[in-house]
Formats: sequence, C-alpha cells, structure tokens
Amino acid sequence: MDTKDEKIMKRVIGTTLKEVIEIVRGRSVSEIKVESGDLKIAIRLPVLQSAPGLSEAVFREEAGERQAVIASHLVGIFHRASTPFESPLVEKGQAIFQGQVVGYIESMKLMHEVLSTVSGKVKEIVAADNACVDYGQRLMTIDISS
Amino acid sequence: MFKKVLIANRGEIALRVIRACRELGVATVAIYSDVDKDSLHVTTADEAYCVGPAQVLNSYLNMHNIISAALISNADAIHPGYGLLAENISFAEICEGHSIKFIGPPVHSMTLMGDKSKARETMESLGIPIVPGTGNIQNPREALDFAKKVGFPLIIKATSGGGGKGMRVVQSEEELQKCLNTARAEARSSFGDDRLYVEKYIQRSRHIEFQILADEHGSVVHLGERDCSVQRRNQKLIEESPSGAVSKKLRKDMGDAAVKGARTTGYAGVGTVEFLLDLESGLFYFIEMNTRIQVEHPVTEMVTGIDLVKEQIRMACGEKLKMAQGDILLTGHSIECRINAEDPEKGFAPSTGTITSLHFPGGLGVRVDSHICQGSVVQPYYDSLLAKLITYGRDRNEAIARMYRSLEETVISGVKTTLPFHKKILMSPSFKDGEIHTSFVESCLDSIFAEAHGRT
Repeated sequence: MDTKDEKIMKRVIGTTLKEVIEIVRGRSVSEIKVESGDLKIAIRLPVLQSAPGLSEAVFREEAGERQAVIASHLVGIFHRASTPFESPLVEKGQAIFQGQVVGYIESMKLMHEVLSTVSGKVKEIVAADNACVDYGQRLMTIDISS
Repeated sequence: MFKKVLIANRGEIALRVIRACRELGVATVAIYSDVDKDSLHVTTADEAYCVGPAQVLNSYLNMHNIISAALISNADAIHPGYGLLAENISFAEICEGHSIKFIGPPVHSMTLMGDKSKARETMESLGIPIVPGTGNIQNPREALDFAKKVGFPLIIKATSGGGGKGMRVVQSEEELQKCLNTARAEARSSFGDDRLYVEKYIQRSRHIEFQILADEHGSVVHLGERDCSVQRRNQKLIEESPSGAVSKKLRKDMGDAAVKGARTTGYAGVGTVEFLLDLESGLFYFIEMNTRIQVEHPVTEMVTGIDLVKEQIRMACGEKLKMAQGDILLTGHSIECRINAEDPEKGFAPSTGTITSLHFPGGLGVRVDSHICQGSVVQPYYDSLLAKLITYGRDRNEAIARMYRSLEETVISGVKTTLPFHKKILMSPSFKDGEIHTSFVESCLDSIFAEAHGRT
C-alpha cells in the first residue's frame, strides 16, 4: 500500500483494520474486501497452515521452576507476528494456554502456526524475530510450575 | 559453476559430495537428522540445517524441510547422493519448480528408467538384448505361462525396484504363489508400488554394469565396466573394475549398447547400465539402468582417473563433456569392499553401538570412503554401510593383495562388522582365480563359516 492509501485507510477505517485482522486470524480466509463510499480496499492475508509446534516435554528444575520448551519442527523463518504491522503474539511474562498460537514459521512462502502444547507463562523468547530456524531449534521457554 | 550446493543425504556419500564441491570451489550445505548432529558430513559442510528427527521419513525424506533449507541458504543446486531422494521424481520436480537445479538426470529419463519394465521394453526396441521376461504381470497365470515357455527357475522383480529389494528367485511351480506374495509385499513397503514382472533366472551369470557420463548437449561416453557379481541376497558386497569376464570386444559391444540406450533416452549426468553376462552362452542382457551416482563408483574412478562426482556436478551446470570415448582408458585394477555394521555369524543382523576404536588402512593404492570416526554412534535408523575400502593395483593380484593387507590392518571396534567375512572371500581360491558368479557367495557361505569357526 502506498502512503496516500494508508492515510485514507487510517481516516476512514482507523483502528478497524486491526479488528478485521483479529477477527480473521486463525480462520482459513485469504482475502477481505472493504468498501466505504468510493473507497474500496482489498486485504490479502497470508494463508495460515495449522501445524502444531513441537513442544518438548523437557521438564527441568531450575531455581524451583519446571519448564517446557517450544521448539521448531520446520526449517524456515520465525516470526513473532503474522505481518510486520502487528505486535508480537506473545511477550515475556505473558500467560499462555495450551493450543494458543505463539508464533509463526514462514516456510516455502507459507506461514505455519506454532501452537503451544503446554499452558504456563512465557519465561523467555529465545528465537529472534525473523531469525532462520531449523528442526528442533528452541523458540521459547515456558514456565509450567503452576 | 554453482555457488552453493545442498547435499540431501548423509553418511559417506554426503562427505564424498562435499569433497568434490570443495575442489570445485562450491560452498556446501548439509542437512541432518537430530541424531546425526555430530556426523562428519555436518561438521565438514560450510552450513548445516537440522531437518527432522531420527526417522528417515521425517528427516532425510522430509522434502519440505530440505527445500526450505535450500531456499533459506540460497543454494542453487541440490545433490541427492544415492538412495533416499536420488530417484524421487516428485522431489526432482519440486526442485525444478523452485529454480533449484537437481543434480541428476532429466525427469523423463528418471521416469522411464525408474519403471524397470518400461526400461526393458525401451532397450528391446533399440535392439539391445534383454533377459527373456514378461511385462508387468496381472496374475500368477501369466508367470506360469512364461515358465512353461522358458522353464524354471524364474526371478520375480519389482517394477519400481532398486537395491535388490522386491526380488525373489522361484525354483518351481509350487513356490510361485508364495514368492509372488512376498515379493509384492516387499515391493509395496520399499517402493510404494507393488507391480511385478518376471524374468528367466540365469543360473551362472556375472553382474556387469557400465558407468555412463553424459552432458546436457547429447554427448555420452562410457567409463568401462564394473563386475559386481559378489553379492548376497542381491546386495553387492565386493565390486571390481575391470571384469575378468569382459574381453576387449565384449567391452566395446556392451559399452556401445549402454551408450546407445542412454543417448536415446536423452540422458544427462551419471548413470549405470546393468547387464547380466550368461557364463554358459557368453551372451549379455540388459537388466536395468540406475539414474544416480552409485555406491561403487570409486572403482571406476581408480582405473580411469576421472572424478565422477565432479564430472556429475559439471554436467549439471551445463558444461560440455570434454572427453571422447577414445580418451577413456582403463588402467590397472581396482576392488572395493563394502564394510557394513552387520554380524555375518548371526545372519548378517545389523549391529548398532558406538565406535570405540577406529583405524583405517593407508599407503599406496589404498582409498577409504567413510564418514565414521572414533566415537561415532551407529544408529539403527539408517543403512549399515560404515566404510568402503578401495584398493588399486597394476593388476588384479596386486589389488587383491593390497585389499587383504588393508582388511587386516583395519580396526573397527564397538560394533560387529563384515570385515572378517570379506577377508574370507578375498582369500578363497575361487575369488583369486576369478571364478566368480552371482551365486558365488551363497554357494561358499557354508565353507566360509566352517573355516571361520575355531579361528578368530
């Protein structure tokens, strides 16, 4: 989108764009069309593939904490959000539940969801945003003590 | 020349390809399963990506992760080695679709030669003799009718076969149904295709194969033959070049047939045309063509001085073949022994474990192609090849003497190996006299073990 369109978008739709993205996240929708008066916008979303992230049942006792690791099962590029406009899905310290999408791996031009297989608190996000990852590479450490 | 090549394989062949790339100034990318993390091909390559867990299906056959690794690393070509994805047409097509050069023959050649039954028909139409046989059989009746024409024994083979799997020798009508069933099941599990065809089984024969090298511009040459008659259950144990059973005339006739077959199918790269030489009649027959670099390629390299893997990479770049048939000379004699992690005393059962001591032989005319080191873990998930011991001599006797000395010198502790078995074969009078044929190992297996017991 060029800056002129972005300005129109902001004026006419404002924060609704984010809401639109939230609504369609996780559904198998690839395109949304928004029409308002003379404004016609088509939003194309990356096709999401659901593929559960590997979660090693690595239960370590460290400073009284039990931890699990979420590791990559694909070779690709790790993304903390599905598009550059969005804020990361999870942050350090955040509570997450089993099955929650905690990141994406872009592989062969498709975005694959990384699902957490444990519930707990994000202790550390080990993989950097846009880093190349391979099979078994640690993405995040989750504190599952509670 | 390519800037970067990803090697979609493991073990000794991955290392072999990395070495060739190094000499060509090409950067290398290794892929590995998590249990192969410390493997030599991983530590030697310039970059490496873990593509999956131990199980072959989820790692070395994980096309998605392998292509992804090639894209991320910006590899311009993928070398598939042998086995695994080397003759996988889908994989070759996927590479093409991503503008990654698959270092192998064109898809149409792989398709044609991959269907053993079609390959036979094609060769026959070119006037190249084939073993009397059937097309794909739909029912046991067809095999029976064929047996009535040529007699027993017969051999059942898998249409999509390779590596000696899905083959059964049938001695009589009583055994036929059972053999068809087991061959079919093996074909289904090994190749995902249970189609079978049947050939007359030639009792006393030699397995003679011709190495082909072709560029993408229609030039094809052969690099002489390899004699791979020393086999056990259709798995090669010892290979040599040249063959004592192949005269100059026969080499010309068989070589010309191999080149004709390859050229007509538009072949490019390296390949091997396999023949059976009937020792009773002296006639040769085409059996199949393998569209990949083969395990036993070193013996050809030793007698011709030509680096087959480097040539294969050059041909894949579109370079023109610089040699003519007349330039290729076979000098001296070379033998290769495949040392596997198997226990010959327990029916060649696979042996796994950690290599605790290792010493490989050396000296003039001795070459070792291996990926194992002291401390290497021999895994149950992959094939049992530990090392290829290759010797070269000015004549066959010298090559044998060097091989025997090398086998004696080699130390591999921690797993059971076929080293003692190879020593026995090398020393048997039949082998030394060159009186070998494809049933040679089976026929003297008992005597080999009878001698072995009571002595270490």
